[in-house]
Amino acid sequence: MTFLIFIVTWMVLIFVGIPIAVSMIVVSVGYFLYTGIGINFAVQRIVDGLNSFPIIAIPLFILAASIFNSSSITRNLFGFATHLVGHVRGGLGHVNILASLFFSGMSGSAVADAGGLGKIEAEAMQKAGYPHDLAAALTAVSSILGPLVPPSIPMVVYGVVSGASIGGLFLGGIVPGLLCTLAMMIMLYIVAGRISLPVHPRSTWRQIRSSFIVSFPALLTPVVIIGGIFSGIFSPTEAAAVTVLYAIAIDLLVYRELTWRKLWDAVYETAIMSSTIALIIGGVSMMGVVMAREKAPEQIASLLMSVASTPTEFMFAVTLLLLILGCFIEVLALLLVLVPSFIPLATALGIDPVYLGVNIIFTLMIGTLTPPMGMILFVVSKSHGVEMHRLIRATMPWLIPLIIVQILMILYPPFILALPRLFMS
Amino acid sequence: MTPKRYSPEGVLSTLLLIVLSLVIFLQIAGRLGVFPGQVWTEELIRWLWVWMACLGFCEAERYQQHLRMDMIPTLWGAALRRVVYRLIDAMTGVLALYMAWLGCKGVLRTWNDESVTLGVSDAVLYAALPVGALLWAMRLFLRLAGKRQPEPWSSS
Repeated sequence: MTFLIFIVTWMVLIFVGIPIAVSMIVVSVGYFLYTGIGINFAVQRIVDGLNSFPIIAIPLFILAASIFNSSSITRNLFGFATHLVGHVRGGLGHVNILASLFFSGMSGSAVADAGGLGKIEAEAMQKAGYPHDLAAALTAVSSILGPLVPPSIPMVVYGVVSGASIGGLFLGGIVPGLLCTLAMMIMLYIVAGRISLPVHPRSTWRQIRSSFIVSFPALLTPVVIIGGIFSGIFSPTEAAAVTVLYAIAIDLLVYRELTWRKLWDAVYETAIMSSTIALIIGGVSMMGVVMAREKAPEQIASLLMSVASTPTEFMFAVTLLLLILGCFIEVLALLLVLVPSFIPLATALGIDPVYLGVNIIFTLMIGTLTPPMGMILFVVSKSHGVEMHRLIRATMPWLIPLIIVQILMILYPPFILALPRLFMS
Repeated sequence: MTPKRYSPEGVLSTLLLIVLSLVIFLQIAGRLGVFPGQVWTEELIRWLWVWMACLGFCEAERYQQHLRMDMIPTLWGAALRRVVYRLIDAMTGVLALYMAWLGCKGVLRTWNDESVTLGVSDAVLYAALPVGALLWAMRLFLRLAGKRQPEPWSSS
């Protein structure tokens, strides 16, 4: 009963507009004061939760994306995508999706994609006369590629809580990211057959080649990250730091737009953004104590075991549970609070933690597109200037290809596991 | 008066992120044999991150960047929303003060524990929380007192 009151209070606090991290700390402090147990140590958990080396990859990947966003790299990627697919039926919609795929190799965050590249996409699509709602919906949906294709902030967090190889997760996300891109482009192609959408004139080989050359150093980023991790030169956190160095180097040597002021602002912005994430991690660490005391992981495990006895059933049960919870709870909070209760069960059923992790992250990313807690919807609604209810309506049909990809990933694990097994064997 | 773009805690948090990144490069260079590797780098990086984050809480508050779901509050009238948000600020301020107090107790408790590789007291690490919480409360109470806040951060 105490735990139910705890969860309901937390939800109410979130809905009245209390910052997510603060709401977690408030309910946790309330719980400890009410039950009279260990508040001193629980508060210390905020620091303990942050005191982790792999988690430091988060600010560094944010910083790399921020540096890329503050120069013309993002615009060049959009230009390259335009030359490649701008002429296909669906026009700039395909460009939007493909540019997000390119950018996802440099950023680990869907919000960085929606907020950074999303602004450029909005500007170009509005200028071309693209339907406003559809443009915003495509930006929102395609931005979920950010955490699927390496690098990925949610994958770092999952790796920390589950003990799964972060490098393996990075590799495991590549094929689902490509599948997702393909599924969205097919759906757009079909939609574009029914409504007239502006297209870009077909580019010449010379234009494609020159835009590729300009974008090439930026497109190499995931190779640098994965190559570095799998050659054993650096850990994922160090790979994130090297990505920052790489972003600065190509900006200074190739694009030559980075000024001290821009760099300082990018670091300043990163410090602010990552602190907000850090406070969520700290809040979740406190909540974790409450969950453990209330035996929540055991309750969740017995719930799952009551409906699932095979690995496939388990995966579908986890996906359904996360799809529902993802409508109400933020991604990091879900990852940190719930995932630890899935791991022992998944291990007992012989489920690969990388397979489980990529599926979980994919599901949680779909959750960022569903109301009322869809984080990406909030960002895109602001960056595209589209009212929330219109954006929700325009985005919903685009969940169909994503759910189809999710089902395929669950039913056919090699989509996720082939690359990690190839490189890690 | 126009609110300042940078604040002391924001600058300090940024500098810590820069130092943290440099120490990571030092760690990589040490392992690659460019020069002798140091055992203390990883612990130092973690401590710098904790301090960076705790100082950053306050700057994120100044810019009102802490993630919140404002879907329901946007349906209310402006006056009601303002009142609710002020109540939230007041409650968060009191919570931050309470956390600062509990954090101070944590510092005293860990005073005699020594870190694994840095050779200093663990209290240095745990002090980040009360310092950050105190500054966070200060930012909240300044906002409640009517001090103007900068617009949400934009690097462009």
